[in-house]
Amino acid sequence: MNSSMQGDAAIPDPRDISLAQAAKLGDSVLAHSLALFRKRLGENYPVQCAFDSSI
Amino acid sequence: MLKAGHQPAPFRQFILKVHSRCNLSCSYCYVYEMADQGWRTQPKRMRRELAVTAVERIAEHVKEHDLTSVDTILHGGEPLLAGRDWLEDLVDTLRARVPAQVNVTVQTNGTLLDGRMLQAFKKLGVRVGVSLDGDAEATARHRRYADGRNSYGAVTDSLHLLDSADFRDCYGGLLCTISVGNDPVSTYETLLKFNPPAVDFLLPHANWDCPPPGRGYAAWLIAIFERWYAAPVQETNIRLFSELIQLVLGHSSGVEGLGIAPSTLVVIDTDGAIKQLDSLSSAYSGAADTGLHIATNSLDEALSHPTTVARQIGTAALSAECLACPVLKLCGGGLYPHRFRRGAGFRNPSVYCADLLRVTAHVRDRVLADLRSLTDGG
Repeated sequence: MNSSMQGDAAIPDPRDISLAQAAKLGDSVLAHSLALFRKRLGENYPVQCAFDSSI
Repeated sequence: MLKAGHQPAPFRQFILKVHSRCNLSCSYCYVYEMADQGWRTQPKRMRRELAVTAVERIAEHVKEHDLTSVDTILHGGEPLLAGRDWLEDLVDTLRARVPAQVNVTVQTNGTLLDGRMLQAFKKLGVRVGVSLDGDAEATARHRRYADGRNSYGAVTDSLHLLDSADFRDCYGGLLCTISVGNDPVSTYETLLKFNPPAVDFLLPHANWDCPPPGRGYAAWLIAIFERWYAAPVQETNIRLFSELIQLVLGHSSGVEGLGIAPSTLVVIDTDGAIKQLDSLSSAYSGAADTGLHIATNSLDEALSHPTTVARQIGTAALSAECLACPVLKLCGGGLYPHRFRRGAGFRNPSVYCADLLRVTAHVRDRVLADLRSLTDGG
């Protein structure tokens, strides 16, 4: 399932990480990333944003 | 490509270059300092009636594709030179005529923000992104006024105002162009002092004919990634890394230049010309041109332009080297303008290929190791 590592059984599926497991990460970057991952799972997520389009 | 079954993705991001001039003279600016000098023939400010036409074209595109939400970025030059009243009129018109949620951001150099301007943005729900490269010394390297004065003081005054309780809701984030001569962690920690809700780091625009200034971009970015990722509490959102992590987790990226999702960004220039990603003008004069104009052409017509198609077809636009790369789906070949080589076009790896490979592999391995540890530990 993982976009970069399909077919590699050693790669954890982030959808299998329980909320209790995620809670161990506290308020860390990875905790925020998993929360964003879950949020986007339920959205029709727009594919781009332009924050990097300018200087 | 259209005959081969390519279905264009509608534009969802509209960059309006409302003012073509800037009150700074940044040494790395692709608008003024690189191959395309087209700004010289642009009107200074977009005419009001042309701005209304731009809004109508966006509204037409929204209706045609049943879009429920779009992003509009007010850009330049320096967009605040258009003036508060002019900008207010434009945002009011966008909100009144576009039948969708319109998220409006202004991307500014931060030197002209004041309380009255921010009051207007607050009232209109406009978010503000500010460009800053680090501390006073770092800013002085590139971001100066034409007379040589450093812009740092004016920008930091604006940032303190933006971070105040009155205007914090308008604060979009900071945009930092990487200068490898500046210490990476010090740069990041300087930006953190302004409490940005988000930060993004940009590679200086470069290509195979106009190489990047200096070396060591991977090491520079990895140093910041480690400082950010290892913090017990997320101090800000670093867009480049957080989107890369989303790719590692299996989602598509939210930024052009990472991953292989189609680009949905279009530019309307100050004279009404419909253009591609305007940083393409760093490659060669006219590279961003489509030959289309909002007075006579719909935005849908830009969807079938060859460069739009190339930016929407994912791996089909990539070089053989990219297709064989183990981080292809994370890196996506890098930002389109960075792939240019005279005589070979854009079907090349990025001029930053070696750096992108190192950074993406580092982020991937770090995140996957932590996920394994989390799941193994039950």
